[in-house]
Amino acid sequence: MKKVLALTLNQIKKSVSQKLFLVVMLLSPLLFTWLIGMALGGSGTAQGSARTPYYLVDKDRSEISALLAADLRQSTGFKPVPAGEEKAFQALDDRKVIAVAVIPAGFGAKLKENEDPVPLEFYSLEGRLESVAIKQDISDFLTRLKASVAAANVAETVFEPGENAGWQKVFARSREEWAEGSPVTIGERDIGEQEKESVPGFTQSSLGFTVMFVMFTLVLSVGGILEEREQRTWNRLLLTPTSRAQILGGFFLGSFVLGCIQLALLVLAGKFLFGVNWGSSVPGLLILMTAYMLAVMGLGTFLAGLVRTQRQLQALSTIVIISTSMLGGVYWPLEIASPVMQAAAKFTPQGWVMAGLTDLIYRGKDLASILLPAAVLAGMAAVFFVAGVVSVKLAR
Amino acid sequence: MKFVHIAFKDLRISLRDKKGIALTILMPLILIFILGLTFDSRFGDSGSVSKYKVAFFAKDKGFLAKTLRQDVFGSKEISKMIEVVDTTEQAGKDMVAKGEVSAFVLVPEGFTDQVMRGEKAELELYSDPGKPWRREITKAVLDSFTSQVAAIQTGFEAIDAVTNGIDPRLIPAVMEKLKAENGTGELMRETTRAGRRQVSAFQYYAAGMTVMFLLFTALAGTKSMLEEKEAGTFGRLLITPTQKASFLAGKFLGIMLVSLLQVLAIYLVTRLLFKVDWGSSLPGLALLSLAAVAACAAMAVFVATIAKSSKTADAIGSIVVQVMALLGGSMVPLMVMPKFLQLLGKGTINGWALTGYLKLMEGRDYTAVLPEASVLALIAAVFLAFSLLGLRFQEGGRI
Repeated sequence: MKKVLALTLNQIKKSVSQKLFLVVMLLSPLLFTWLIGMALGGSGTAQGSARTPYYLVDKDRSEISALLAADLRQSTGFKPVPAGEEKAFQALDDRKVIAVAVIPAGFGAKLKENEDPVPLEFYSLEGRLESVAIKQDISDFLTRLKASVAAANVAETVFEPGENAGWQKVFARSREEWAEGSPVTIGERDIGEQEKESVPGFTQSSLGFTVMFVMFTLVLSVGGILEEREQRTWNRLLLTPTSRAQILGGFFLGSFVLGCIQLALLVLAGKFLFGVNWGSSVPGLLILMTAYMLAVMGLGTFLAGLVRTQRQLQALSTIVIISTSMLGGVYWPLEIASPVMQAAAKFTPQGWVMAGLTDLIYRGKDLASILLPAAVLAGMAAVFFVAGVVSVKLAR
Repeated sequence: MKFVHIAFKDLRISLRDKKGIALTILMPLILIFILGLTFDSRFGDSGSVSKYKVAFFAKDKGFLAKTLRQDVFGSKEISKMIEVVDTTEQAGKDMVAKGEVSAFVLVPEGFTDQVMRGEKAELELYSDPGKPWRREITKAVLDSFTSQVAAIQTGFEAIDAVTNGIDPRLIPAVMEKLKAENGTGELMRETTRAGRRQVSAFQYYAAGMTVMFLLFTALAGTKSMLEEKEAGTFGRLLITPTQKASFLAGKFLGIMLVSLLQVLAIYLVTRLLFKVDWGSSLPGLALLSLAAVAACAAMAVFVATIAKSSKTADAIGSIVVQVMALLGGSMVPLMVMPKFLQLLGKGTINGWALTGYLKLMEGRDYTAVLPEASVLALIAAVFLAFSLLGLRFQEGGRI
């Protein structure tokens, strides 16, 4: 046992002594978490950040279009910047703005007539997550404006002119009603007792990149066995009175402990830097992550069996890890992916660990919820280890 | 013309390396495929949206609950995205808790009456915290319903107030007319300018991955240069009458050739197999690709002149490449990133190249990508100049 521990320690020391290792395994996941977290909405329009601007071109220049422009300025999320058509489209072409809204000529008049409406034109660039939100925002204000116009129109047709129901009066009154906010709303209720905190963008990216970079560490660390073989230190070790099982045991234990250290640091960083709530079930988290790390070490063994040198392993594992991570829901939540991809995720370790983490963290569930994912991961670990051993034997 | 020999020799070596080819060509294709499939829904292309379940129960017996169930959730457009499961209050909450449905919509008792009396009314939404994006979609659907209801309600209230109470006999007519007025007419239309096209997810990631893998190829080029030095073949080459400058030029040209083949292969396969539209300007594509490839190759040569060993170049390089890919918009569209990150993206080769490709995909001609192509050419020139300068300073030292 002493020998195994000595080998374990050696394995850890070797990795930690490399500055590069620290950069790759700790700083880069944090960088990725931060960048993707922001892209997924972590920075959000939520707190004090500047409203996202878009250009608003008023070609109508009617009373209605002026009112609409004034309404749009009240938006909390987005800022309409008045501009001429040419300037607005030039900015869109130069990618200085993500969307342009054009109020076409005749917009106000047709809205009043309620015949052959001339719709507001909306132009946007690719990557429309934000422009969809802008569209929704404009659409909300349009619906309200239209509601007031409709009320005034109805009043005009139903009542005689003398009945004190003039168009302008009803229109103005209706707009007052709206100023107090929509009377019909959606109330969100919670089903469980879990608290909603932490920014969703950062939770997703922090979970994802913790999962992905632990995988990098483990696969490459397990693959270090190739280097031992290349440098013949493996053979030397066999000459000493140490059994093959002891060497391998020390090797795997070392990799595992290394993964644990990285995992612990990333979990803490997620908690304190990005405000991620890691759920209330510590045993659940431990079991799930242990099963995941075993599966990944199995995968590492398998991949190491496929190639001859550590170099080749690096190239191969980068590809395997990045593509399975995309499939497994590391970069973005699988709920927005297509059904094919959601099915494909079931074949990746990341897919299962992310499913388990979603239960623990987003849904605030307990230990029982992760038993299935943990069991599947343990099964994957077994399959990969066997496949790895077979392929190593074949390669010899 | 020794450098031409070196370039072609490198190209031959690259073509013989089957694993390398798999890396540079198959991998981007696989990723383009995965990303295209994933993000199609987010980019507004229909067809690949993942349908999900929403439980529904109306405690309210009024007509608004029926309208929501039948005309909103039952509509053609919505039923493509959402499958409604009719249930009861407790069962609905349980289904959300168990994750069997993504959300549960409850129309509370007296909802219709509250609306009709002009009081505030509220729909209840219970959603699976594990599926925040679907919650947003469900909310958007409910939103369009509540705003229509609110439009009629406020209209009615306004008329009622102005006329000091609507004559009860006129109420049905007023309601009908309000419904009719509010229900008609498209208020807003998403559109493109004449001759322009909306770029789809598949197109976006085809370009994004192409430029990202150009960086990987450049990194491989750097590695091969450093390995020549480590293996001593560079030293041997110097004994022959070959100048260091022509060694660099040869390597630069070699990396360019490999990268050009890579771009061509990705272009052809995505075009023929995935039907990706790369725009209609071949001169634009050629010009931009040439400039992008030159910039990447020049960077590769420059890094080789300053790097210590192929091992460090490899480890740091692959991180730098991924960060550049991220900042340049290869993974997530730049437009959704905060302003200062977009600014950082301006410092990446792949960012400029991607912007150029997107412009072409929008249907613009080569004149539109002249700024991008010039910037890339400038980057290439600067890196090459520094590589040559570096040579002077380090005669005998590094490459």
